[in-house]
Amino acid sequence: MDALDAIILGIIQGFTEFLPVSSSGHLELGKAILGDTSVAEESLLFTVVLHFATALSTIVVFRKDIIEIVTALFKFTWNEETQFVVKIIASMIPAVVVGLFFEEQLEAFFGGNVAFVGAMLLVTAALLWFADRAKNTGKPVTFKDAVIIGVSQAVAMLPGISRSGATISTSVLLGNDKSKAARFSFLMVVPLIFGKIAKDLLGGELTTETTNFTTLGLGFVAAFICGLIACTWMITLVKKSKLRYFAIYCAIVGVIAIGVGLYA
Amino acid sequence: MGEKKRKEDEKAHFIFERKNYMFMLIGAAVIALGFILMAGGGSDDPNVFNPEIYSWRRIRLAPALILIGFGIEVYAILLDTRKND
Repeated sequence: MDALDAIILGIIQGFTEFLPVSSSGHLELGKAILGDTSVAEESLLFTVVLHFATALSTIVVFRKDIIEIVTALFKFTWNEETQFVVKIIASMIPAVVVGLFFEEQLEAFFGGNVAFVGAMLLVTAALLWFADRAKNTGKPVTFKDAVIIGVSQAVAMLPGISRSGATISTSVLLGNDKSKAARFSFLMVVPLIFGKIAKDLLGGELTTETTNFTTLGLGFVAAFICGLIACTWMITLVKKSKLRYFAIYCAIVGVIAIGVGLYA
Repeated sequence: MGEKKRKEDEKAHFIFERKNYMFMLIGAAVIALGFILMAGGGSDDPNVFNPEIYSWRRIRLAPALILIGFGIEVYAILLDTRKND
């Protein structure tokens, strides 16, 4: 992997972590169009570094919120922030269960089934479209909402379903305030990312034998900066109800993918 | 007086303080140390496997240091120095 590949992968990771377009779906489509071998396979260490970069960008954007949450958490009272943390933990459970116990079944969906990815992109498009038109939004995220949003996050492990799109749309469709939905969606994934990073790092499979530290650093910087831009941009888009543009994009790509998958 | 106020306003625009950057550098140094300890151990001959690549230092100590470094970076970002002012 050269420096340009690292920067491109960093930019893709930075944007697709936050924008509702499904990075895994696009990667599957890319593999099918270009052929499996022409898509650069990044090393596990590089993946870990890119995920760390986007997690850090989320922490920077929500720095004040996280400081407030942590400070309130250590007061050991059943305050709003403690409840928020419990809701985040509740929302993580479905994804953790799927990630730990259904990994093999999940991998079966990543076999280059273009029509399936297309269908899932249509689901993402529908979710975004309806969420954008939702009117009765204003209530805070409840415990029940947190679990339902968590289930949507687990479903979003399928290629073609955007994680941010599915969780924000589900939250908004449940009647939650739009900016709170975006905040919950981005904060709920941070512990999962760090859990995955810890699992990968301590799994004993990392090696720096083929790693170029300059490309690693470039990838990190690109993912971090693009993550900052995409995260703040996405919050504004959700607040201003501008998700329909992503819905249209996902619908177009989804229809093309289904057409290619069924008739090509 | 106006100049002083302008400088104070400029200072207020920085997200992080000196202490945050200090911890960021410490975190980066710990991560770098982890990478250094992880390096090496490969075989010169592709037909010969060198078990050193999976030594305790490379698959336990080095990743743990990298993880600690990541943790220090998160702490550096979340460290709120202004509450002490």
